[in-house]
Amino acid sequence: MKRATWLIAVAIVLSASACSGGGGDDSAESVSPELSDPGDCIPIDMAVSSEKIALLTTLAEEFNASDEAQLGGGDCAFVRVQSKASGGATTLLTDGWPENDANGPRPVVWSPASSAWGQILNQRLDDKGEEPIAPESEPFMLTPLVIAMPEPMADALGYPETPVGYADILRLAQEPGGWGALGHPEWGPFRLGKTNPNFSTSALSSTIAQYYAATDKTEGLSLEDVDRADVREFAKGVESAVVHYGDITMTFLNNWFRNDARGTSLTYVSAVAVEEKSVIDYNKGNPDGILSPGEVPREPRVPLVAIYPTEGTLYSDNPFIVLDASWVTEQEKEAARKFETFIKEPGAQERVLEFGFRPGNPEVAIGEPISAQWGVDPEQPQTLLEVPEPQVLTGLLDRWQEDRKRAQVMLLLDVSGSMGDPGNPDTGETKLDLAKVAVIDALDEFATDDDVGLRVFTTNMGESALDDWQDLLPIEPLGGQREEMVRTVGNLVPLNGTPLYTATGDAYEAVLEQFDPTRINAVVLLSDGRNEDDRNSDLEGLINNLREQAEGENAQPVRVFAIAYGDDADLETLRRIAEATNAQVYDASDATTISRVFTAVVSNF
Amino acid sequence: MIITEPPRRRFMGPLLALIAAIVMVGASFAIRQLVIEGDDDDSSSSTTDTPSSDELSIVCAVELADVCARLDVGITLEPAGTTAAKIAAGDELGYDAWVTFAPMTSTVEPEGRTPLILAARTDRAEVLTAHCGGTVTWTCIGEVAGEPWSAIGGEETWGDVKPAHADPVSSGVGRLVLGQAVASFLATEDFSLIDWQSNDAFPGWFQQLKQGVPASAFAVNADPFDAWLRQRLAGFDIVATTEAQAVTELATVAPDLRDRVALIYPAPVATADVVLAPLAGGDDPSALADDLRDALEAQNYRVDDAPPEGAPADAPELPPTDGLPPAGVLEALIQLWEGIRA
Repeated sequence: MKRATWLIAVAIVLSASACSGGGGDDSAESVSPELSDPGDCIPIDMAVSSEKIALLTTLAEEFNASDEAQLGGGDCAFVRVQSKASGGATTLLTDGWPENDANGPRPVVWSPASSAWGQILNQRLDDKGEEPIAPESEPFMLTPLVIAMPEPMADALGYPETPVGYADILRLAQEPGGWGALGHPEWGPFRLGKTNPNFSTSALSSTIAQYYAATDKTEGLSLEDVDRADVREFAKGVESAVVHYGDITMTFLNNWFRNDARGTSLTYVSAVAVEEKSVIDYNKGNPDGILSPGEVPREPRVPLVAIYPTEGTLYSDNPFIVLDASWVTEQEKEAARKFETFIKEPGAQERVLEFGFRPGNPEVAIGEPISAQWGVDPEQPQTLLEVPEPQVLTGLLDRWQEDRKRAQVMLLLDVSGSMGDPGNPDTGETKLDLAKVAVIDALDEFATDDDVGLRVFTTNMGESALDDWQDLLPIEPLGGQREEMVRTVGNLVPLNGTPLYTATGDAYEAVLEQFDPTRINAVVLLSDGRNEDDRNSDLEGLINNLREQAEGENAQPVRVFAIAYGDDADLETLRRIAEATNAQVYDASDATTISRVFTAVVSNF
Repeated sequence: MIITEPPRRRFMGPLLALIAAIVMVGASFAIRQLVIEGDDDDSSSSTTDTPSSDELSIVCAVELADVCARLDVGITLEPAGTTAAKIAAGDELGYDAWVTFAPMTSTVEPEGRTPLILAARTDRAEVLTAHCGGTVTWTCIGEVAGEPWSAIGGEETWGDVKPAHADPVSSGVGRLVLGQAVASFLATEDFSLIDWQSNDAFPGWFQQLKQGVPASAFAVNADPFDAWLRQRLAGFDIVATTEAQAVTELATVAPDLRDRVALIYPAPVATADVVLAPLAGGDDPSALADDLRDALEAQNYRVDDAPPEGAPADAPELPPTDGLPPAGVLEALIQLWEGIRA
């Protein structure tokens, strides 16, 4: 039986990804599309990393409509694809994939961006005394980790005539004179863009590469290596150059692109570890890898160059893992294998190439868009770094948590009256109730020596009736005030109006006043409404002020990560605020997603 | 044709591997008892009539899957090491024959042969050949394994010299390559435990070779040559394979990839000889021999000694023997190799 109709909602996937998910890198954004009815066929649920959701959705559609989906005996397979970030899926699978609306159905097939996630999953299961469920699998497409750098900066390093390695990049990151050491003081300090390895595959790979560089090894990285004092110091030195972390490289790429339009791309960030595919997308004028309807790509004024580190690099190898999980039947495995065969056929592999990945089937030649025209080199990489043993991978993530750059963060929470509106009709919880839980849960993601403060805002609050905000806890090490933070957040109540602009501007200035160059300085702004402050309606003034202070080689960057919370939030204004500070807006218009969104926001630290 | 696969081996721990290695040292002798060697003793066969080929069932070494898939018989694919261990343990396999490589069943005549070769990027092959004095040997490869390419005339960007071969414990070809490498170093295929124990240079060379091979070459269920092609030649520098596999697979890969691959026949030439070994308790599989030869030829094995189409113009003639040590010595070598891994 052929299935000609397959209505998985690609449009939903694409639009939902626009704020904080999508292409370029495996993101923490997980989108569960409206899964279509498999009819009489056997549904084969597949969880894939977000950067390949559009590709796999297309391929699944073609498979379902083909004779290849026939299983014999009148049965047929129906592949359904959902986007799940690799790090998030690893956590879900470790916990047995609790089935609910947010998580979606338990997968038969899992395709994280890198097989390293499969190793981490098996190691975590082993730590729990459980059997592994992710057998070793063949990749069906590849994309190497590269260091993306604006072309003038790569030229200044002499690349490609002069080989550039992680060690060179990392030394430059610790160079006190920054780019001045290479004759370009106008570019300011060397700023490294790096995502959070607990969420992002490119970050996981670059962290592995970083530790290899620190040990001068290319294989056999051990826990003993990682624990060496000099290696830890090296790692901390590298992390000190990071502008902020985050769940997706797309944040950096989008901000880079916006800065490019203003001619300031060279002072935003100097280098970002991304997948090769992202460099292609960026140089094509599509930094997030997704073209919205009507969006016309504009090639950047300053293109990026993919630097393939001389020590070697790692592939995001996109394994096709048919899970050995208790919920997977033999028939489902058989059907999954048929889909695996289908996507490795040359026809499907040509599609892979169109999307900027390297085909896993060597029968298909590497061609456009993997070419110098788009800043990448099909002859590279020349050599690969070895993926460490699973226990080293999990140990490495633990060490990173200890060595990462610390943060100085003000949590700026909207306690306007509308926060008392229903957030979850099923439970009767208000938006504020849900936000409290999200904030308290996310505190676990901070280190005890991260400085975290709490400020709330609404009109007519505080000692003076004219005050628009109130500091409830100062920005101090969280370890010393965690319990008080939990208690204080728990006691919040909804009050008056939303003085969004004043509260944002004042919070920004407050963090700027105590700017600490050794930390990530940021405001986390959560708001569910529009500015309702008659005394200050000057949005343009706010945006201009934020932008002016964020630009230039001597800028002291304070990022405002904004969460648009609930249906009535002013997403576009919050987006402008976030982007003015080279940060990111997060869409939690569905209030029940706030916990996941808040965790993604905190991944920036 | 029905192909089944037994449950895949996963996470074989070092202790299990060691036990397996120890068992397999004795296994090589037991195999000779349980595999009916040659045609001169039909007494242990369970039947006196020769069944037709489609009534037979065979267990087939994983590397020979494409060959066995061409046979009209019931097939079970299994790593050669696994089958050997079962036979050594005295298990009744329930098959009529074992299609595998010769050293496992040394007195059965091969149905087809293929040289053990190396595949390398052309630029690496040139540098390596020059460094090795014009002729690449495993002795030379072991000496440079893990060293920077720049130290032997290559580019800095090539990193360290990374040779690769399949896991000798589980892979039939992997164990042959290990035998070929050591035969190269000791300059004889007819060596014994005493030869390597009395050679002062051997431990260092063997260790360097072992540790110079990336662990990813030994990934479960992975063939390093396949992985190398998938990774567009990035993961390894020199990959041990067979002429048959290389010619077959390179015929289908994209031209831009094929043009960057050089095939090297390391000296002295050794061969992977494929045998159809009757198993104790099974029917006589001789009716399958012709089909097996056809299948081998179709997969670019040498049945009449002529190199297959697609082999390099300077592909050598085959030596009269496989150039490899006997099965017992191979098993002991694997044990030694495992010891270095631990």
